[in-house]
Amino acid sequence: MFTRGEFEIACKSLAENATIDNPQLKGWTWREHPEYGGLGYLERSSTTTCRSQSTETEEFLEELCEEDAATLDTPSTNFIRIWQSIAYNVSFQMPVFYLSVYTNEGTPFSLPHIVDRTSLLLFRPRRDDGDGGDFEVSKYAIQVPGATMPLVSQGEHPTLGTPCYYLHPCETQGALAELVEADGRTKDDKKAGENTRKLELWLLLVGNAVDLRV
Amino acid sequence: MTSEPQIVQFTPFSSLVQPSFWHSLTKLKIDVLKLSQDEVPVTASYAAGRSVTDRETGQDVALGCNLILGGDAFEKTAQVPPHSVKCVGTLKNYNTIEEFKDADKPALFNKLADEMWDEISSAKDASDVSEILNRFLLITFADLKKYRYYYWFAFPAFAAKPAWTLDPSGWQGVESTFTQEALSNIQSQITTSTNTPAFFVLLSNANDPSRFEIHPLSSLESLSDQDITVGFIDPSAHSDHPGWPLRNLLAFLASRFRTRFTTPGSQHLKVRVLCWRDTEAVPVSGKWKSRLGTVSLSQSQSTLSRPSAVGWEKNPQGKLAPRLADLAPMMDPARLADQAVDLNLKLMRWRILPSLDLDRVASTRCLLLGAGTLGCFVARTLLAWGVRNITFVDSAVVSFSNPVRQPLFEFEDCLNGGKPKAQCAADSLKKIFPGVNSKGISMSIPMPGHPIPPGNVEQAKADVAQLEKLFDEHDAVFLLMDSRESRWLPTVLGAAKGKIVMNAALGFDSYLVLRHGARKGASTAPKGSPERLGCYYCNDVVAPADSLSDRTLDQMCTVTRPGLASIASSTAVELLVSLLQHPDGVNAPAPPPDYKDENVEESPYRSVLGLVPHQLRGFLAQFRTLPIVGAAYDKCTGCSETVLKAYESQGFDMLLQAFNESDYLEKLTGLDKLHEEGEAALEAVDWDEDDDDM
Repeated sequence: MFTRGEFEIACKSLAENATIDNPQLKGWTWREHPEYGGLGYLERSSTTTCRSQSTETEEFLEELCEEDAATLDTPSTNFIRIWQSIAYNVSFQMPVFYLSVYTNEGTPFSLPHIVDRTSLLLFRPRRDDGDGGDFEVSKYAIQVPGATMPLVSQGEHPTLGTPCYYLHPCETQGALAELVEADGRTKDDKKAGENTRKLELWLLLVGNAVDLRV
Repeated sequence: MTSEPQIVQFTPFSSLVQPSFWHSLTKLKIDVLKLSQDEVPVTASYAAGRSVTDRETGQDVALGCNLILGGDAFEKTAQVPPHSVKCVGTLKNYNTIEEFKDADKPALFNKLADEMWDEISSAKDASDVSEILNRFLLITFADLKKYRYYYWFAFPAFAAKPAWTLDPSGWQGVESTFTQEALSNIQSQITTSTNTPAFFVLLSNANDPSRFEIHPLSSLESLSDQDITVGFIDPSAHSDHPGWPLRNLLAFLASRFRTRFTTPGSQHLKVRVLCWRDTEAVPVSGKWKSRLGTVSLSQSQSTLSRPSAVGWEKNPQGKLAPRLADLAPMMDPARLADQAVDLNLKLMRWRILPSLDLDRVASTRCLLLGAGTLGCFVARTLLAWGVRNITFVDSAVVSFSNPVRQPLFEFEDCLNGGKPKAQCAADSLKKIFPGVNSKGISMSIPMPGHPIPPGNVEQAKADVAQLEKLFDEHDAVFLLMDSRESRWLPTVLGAAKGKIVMNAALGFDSYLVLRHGARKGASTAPKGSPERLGCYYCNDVVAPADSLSDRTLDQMCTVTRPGLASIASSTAVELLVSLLQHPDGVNAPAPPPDYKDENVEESPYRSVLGLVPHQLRGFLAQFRTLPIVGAAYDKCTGCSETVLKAYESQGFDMLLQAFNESDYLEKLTGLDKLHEEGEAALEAVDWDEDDDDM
């Protein structure tokens, strides 16, 4: 669906319009690999209003003492943080959506933990088809019963090499082709606009599985 | 009380570390720092304070006054997110938790505070000062074995004594002072500058007092007496409490521009402060979040010596103590490998064979008798199929001739007399894939024709018992040993215990791979295929005997074409996997040699992976493989009912007789009579079953 070049053009145009008031499209920044070209990706960070527990460091005693009336004594609120990224997958010739959910300390959440706090609504089970919400959640994957590939699994970010969760691209390919066909808009526009529109449609698809509001 | 002026309280920074930062620190520690505890620069950023709407309650929740560290914090050209202020701090990583605990933290803190104060009071050009005001300290200890990171931030801020106080009017929304147009104009100046200014001076335009312009701090040097407002990007979202960066800004102003901010005739410094919090889209009227207020400081304070500084970050429990990031759940390489390996196999299933039962393969516990060339290759192919339980049995040690042909051994393994092969192979498998449950057992398998001296009987009995137990604990047994007769006991045990028995043997340029027929046989063997398939010995008309004595070296040690072992091993594993995928499993009928596979779904011979032949004989000289079917032989010394019943009723005593008396098995099965009848000697097909290369 996308060549790497087309992917890059579409992403950069999305990043240029980062202030757009659309929860799926706003806030994306284009990043390059620090050393090599052609490995760029989009990313953005957000904060949920859900609280998380921090790991206690019991082995440490309170070592220092600072008394200062001008420091606001603010209760520490550990909100759940979300990092999202869109990177290119060569085998599928498709963008792939990556996600990491973590505490203020950078401690990542496991999938069961993420799904557990469904107030996050991070992953949207297909509740409307009756047997929705019926997902098998393991440490490394969210599996739709009967499907061959997991919907979400753990993997490495292709540019950063850090572990993230990602949406498997196998199903988006076909669905995107249908959307592009139905949309029609992509045909009329010029080449650059066409790719951007395709990426927007792809984000729309991703939005079906993942809550993209930030 | 109301007359008492209110102290300005600042919202402290609260650190927000992205997981990618810890990955970068890990790399830095391993590749660059190693054991160095030198201080290194790190880049962080903060953005204007934000509040988000709680999806459940619909209320606005103020987010923390966050200083954010990302994965590129150590890059010289670290990019900061849009509309964020870049800060440079110092990281000091300790090698041990003790050094981390024992570090003289007040000394580190004061050293940084001294440096900051020196630069603040000496900086020639006030424009340089922005970066100095936001310096921070980060001390860490990275426990790379457990992927736990201990850390503590300090954001030194100079504490004014007495403290800054707030004008009675308090902090007010900017819309009470500025028009929507003026605010939009300020907003666009801030957001369109290439580097978001941490601090700035706001001046009204000389020609049009309703318009405002932002200028760098350095412009304070040259400004005439104008109505000055000092602004900063405010990371706090608290309506009544400005963020931490304002503290050092005020300290700087009090130190460098005291006279400018002193109201004539009074003893007070007075600064009008703009806390700028609107950096995203231009808000509609009534929604601006920026705040404006006037703060004062009574001038009794001397600014010559450095004011005391505060700013250690509290941990989530509200204590002044380090924090901890635990990345183990996502970082443990063993778990990651496990997951990646499975994914590969799943891809195969997804792409090609949706009905492939991978769990059935993965859950098959495999016993490999022989950890030589065949054993090594078999194990690697099993591993690739996702098999997680592999046990090796071998009595030899790794010799110098082994590593080039046996892919689980290295030169090092041959030193000092050589490691025991079984354990060494098991360890090597774990090195390749930590998720495997591999074991190695050094044991020699008693053989017919190799009499057991009376003193060793107890040992042999114990060995047999251990082997019997191993058979019970596994589902499939591979016979991969270096002699023909050593396969006899496993053949008997496999048939008696109903295990899948896979056999592989090598000649110089030919090989045999064979699955032993199950004892009960296929209940519904299709017409034309034998009711019970044969074993390794079914074609033999002689009982296994000593084949090792009186042989020259090249006869004793298999001399085979090097590629043969991997071909035979892979064939054996693939035959096992096909068998496991067949609905009848170990009883899968073997297709006749002339069977034409027409891809008929209902064919009784087909598994999802295709046919499950009985024997494969490969001839490398012709690059040809022949499928062969052989029926079980009722006088077989390995698998006939006579032998199995004798073993079952007499146990070890029967086995001992077989080991010690060279004609016992032939007598038992009636082969001796057969010999008498047909004097003409039948040459046994002489498979040179060996993999102990020299």
